[in-house]
Amino acid sequence: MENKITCQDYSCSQTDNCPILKFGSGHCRNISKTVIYGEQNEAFFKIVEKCLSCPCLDNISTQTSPLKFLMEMVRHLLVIARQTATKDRDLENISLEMAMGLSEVFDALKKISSGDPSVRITETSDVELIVRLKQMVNETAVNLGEIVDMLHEFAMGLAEHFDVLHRVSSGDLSARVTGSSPVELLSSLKQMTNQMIQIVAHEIAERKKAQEDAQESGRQLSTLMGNLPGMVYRCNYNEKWTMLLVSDGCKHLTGYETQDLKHDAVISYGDLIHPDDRQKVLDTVQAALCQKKSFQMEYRIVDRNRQIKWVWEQGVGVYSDDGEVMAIEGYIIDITDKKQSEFERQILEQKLQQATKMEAIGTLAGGIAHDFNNLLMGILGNVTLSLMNIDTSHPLYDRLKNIEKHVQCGADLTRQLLGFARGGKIEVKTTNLNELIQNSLEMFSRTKKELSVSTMFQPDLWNVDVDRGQIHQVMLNLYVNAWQAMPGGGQLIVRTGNEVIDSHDARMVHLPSEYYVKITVADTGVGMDAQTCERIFEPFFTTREKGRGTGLGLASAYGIIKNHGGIIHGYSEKGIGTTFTIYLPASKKMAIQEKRPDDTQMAAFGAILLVDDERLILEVAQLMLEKLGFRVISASNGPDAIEIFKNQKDQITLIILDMIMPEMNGGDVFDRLKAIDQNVRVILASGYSLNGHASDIMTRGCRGFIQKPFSLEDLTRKIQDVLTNE
Amino acid sequence: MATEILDTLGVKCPQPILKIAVKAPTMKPGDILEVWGDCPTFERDVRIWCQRLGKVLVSVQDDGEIAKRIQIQF
Repeated sequence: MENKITCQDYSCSQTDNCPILKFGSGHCRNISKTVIYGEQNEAFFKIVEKCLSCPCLDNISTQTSPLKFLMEMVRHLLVIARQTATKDRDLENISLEMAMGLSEVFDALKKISSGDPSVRITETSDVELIVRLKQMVNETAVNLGEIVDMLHEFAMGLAEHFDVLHRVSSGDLSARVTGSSPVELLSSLKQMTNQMIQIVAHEIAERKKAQEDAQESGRQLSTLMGNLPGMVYRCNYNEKWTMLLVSDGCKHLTGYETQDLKHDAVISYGDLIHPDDRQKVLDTVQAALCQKKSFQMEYRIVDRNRQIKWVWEQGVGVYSDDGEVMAIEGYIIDITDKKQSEFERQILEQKLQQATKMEAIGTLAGGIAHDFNNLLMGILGNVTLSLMNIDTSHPLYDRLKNIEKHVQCGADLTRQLLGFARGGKIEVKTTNLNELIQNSLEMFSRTKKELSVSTMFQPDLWNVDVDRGQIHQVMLNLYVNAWQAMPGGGQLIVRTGNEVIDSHDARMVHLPSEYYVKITVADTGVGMDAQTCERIFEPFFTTREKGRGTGLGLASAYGIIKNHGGIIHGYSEKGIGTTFTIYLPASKKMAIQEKRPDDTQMAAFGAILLVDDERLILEVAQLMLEKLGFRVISASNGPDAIEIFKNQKDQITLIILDMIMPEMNGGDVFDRLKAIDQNVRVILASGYSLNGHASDIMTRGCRGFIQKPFSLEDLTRKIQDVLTNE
Repeated sequence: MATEILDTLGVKCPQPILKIAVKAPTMKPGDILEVWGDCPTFERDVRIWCQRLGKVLVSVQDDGEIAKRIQIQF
């Protein structure tokens, strides 16, 4: 350790008063290289002051001593040191004030920088600079607060606008900016935003309404089109008639779904048009489009089920501004039923015309037949009576027989004519036609060996209410017709069957009932063409050479079947043959078995009242009846007959009553006779038949009908029939 | 109802409000959005936002000296 010197070394102080020595270390702290403590601090100066006031220094005698000078210097330095210490203390105070003030300012600025401009600091300080700084900080906070408030206001406004616009974009058009803001820009923005939303909402509402209106219109149009019975369309103007739009009626009309036809997805409408009608359709449309007019046409289509349908179409072209055809729009309806009805109406009209013509001819023929029959009756009666009175060896016998034979031919002719002309059935009996037809066939085939006859009879054939004699005549006429059509022989096929005709078909053929017995007579003869076939039922129409046919056979058949409430029609193909078909209404009654009168057992008894206005008939018939053994009472008119019957009814067995008489007709006379005696037996006789008149009388209880002219044989059979069938 | 967290800690105002505004469209009615924030005007800004936009401020929870957790129901 370095040797320390003491102040005593300099001052030679030996006093124990030296305060420094009192420290115990023996070293003065005020002299360099001595042991000192804190050279620069206040303690030094205090110690130095103590040293300077040290009594030991008073012992120094010379002023010029270096020590004294040094002491003076020290004193001077101490003065300066004291002054310096004061200033240091001031500076220290200022420094402290500044540090405190700056810390305050720093904290305030820190808060401001963190976004809180609400901070304020007291503007007091000993340091003016700090005061000024605090004032600036507070002014800055105030200014910044306004900016921050505005920034917040902007942020808040922006957030609200964002929210409202988001709600609007999501479809909530009721969203509005509601917050008020002191910022003018935000207020204006709010107003504009709300106005814009309102306009958009209005626009959208308008569009929505327009869209709804359009949808409603579309729905109405679709419903309207769907309810229409036909198909509404819009199509391209091309050969396929490519459909761009079709209504729901498409399915019903064509069998295809709407989407099948649209854009030819499955089939084009052009393919549905009947091949034979396509060109007509194209030509019609082209012609209309050239003139820019609408078109109407009827044609056929083939639907999905391959059914042919008749359609009616109306359409019009849709043109562009330069006149080019853009599309065709129109409407198509199914008129198949209408077409069918038209066809049926045409058929019915033809039938009506035919029926009217037949009726007129029938009336004419009936009138002629009536007069002719009366004449024949007179001739035949006289011939018959003459023959009865002469022997077969008489020279006139053969001639009279020839006359009788020719009169019979004439009578057959008029019978045929009357068969066509008469208006009703005469003697109706419930009959099984199988038996009747079999009998007629046997009779016919016995004489026509060259024909192969076959039958197909339905077992349990329904009965019919017919005049058996008339139906027998019809069948014979058909057989004869077939035989004449097969000069070299052939097949004659006769069938019977039960038929149920539905109401539609029954209406078509003017039939009153649905249950019928069907008879077909088919031959393998030469056949006829269609034109001939149309006229075969006309009286006197014949294709036979002169002398082979009268032209009355089929006409008679037609009239008889018609008067039985049935129909007869013929179908023929040249070179193949002809088939006649008869439909007769079925009856629910049981068939009546025919009682065959026995010619040999005819027993005449009582009187017969003969009533006829024709004198010739009265004479001939009276002779015939007397020949049969009857007593005959004659009356030339109805009132006389009634009077006679009233007086002699117990003696009168039978009355033969003419139908047509001038004063009182047969029907009225019959009613009066019946009034007198409910069980009176009356046979109607006539050369003529009024429409249904004879049938009416028959239904009122008349026992029989005899057609003039009648032979003695006819008369005998009829009387026997009446008397034995009671 | 879902609860979602939006952390805006350290983000200066008024950015938390802008973040809430952006988040809001994803929230469904009844959902809770819990926002964490520590800016000085955080609570005041959220209150004003809720008031102006018609949202329910469910709770405000202090989380330390500055930070807060605020629950908003949509």
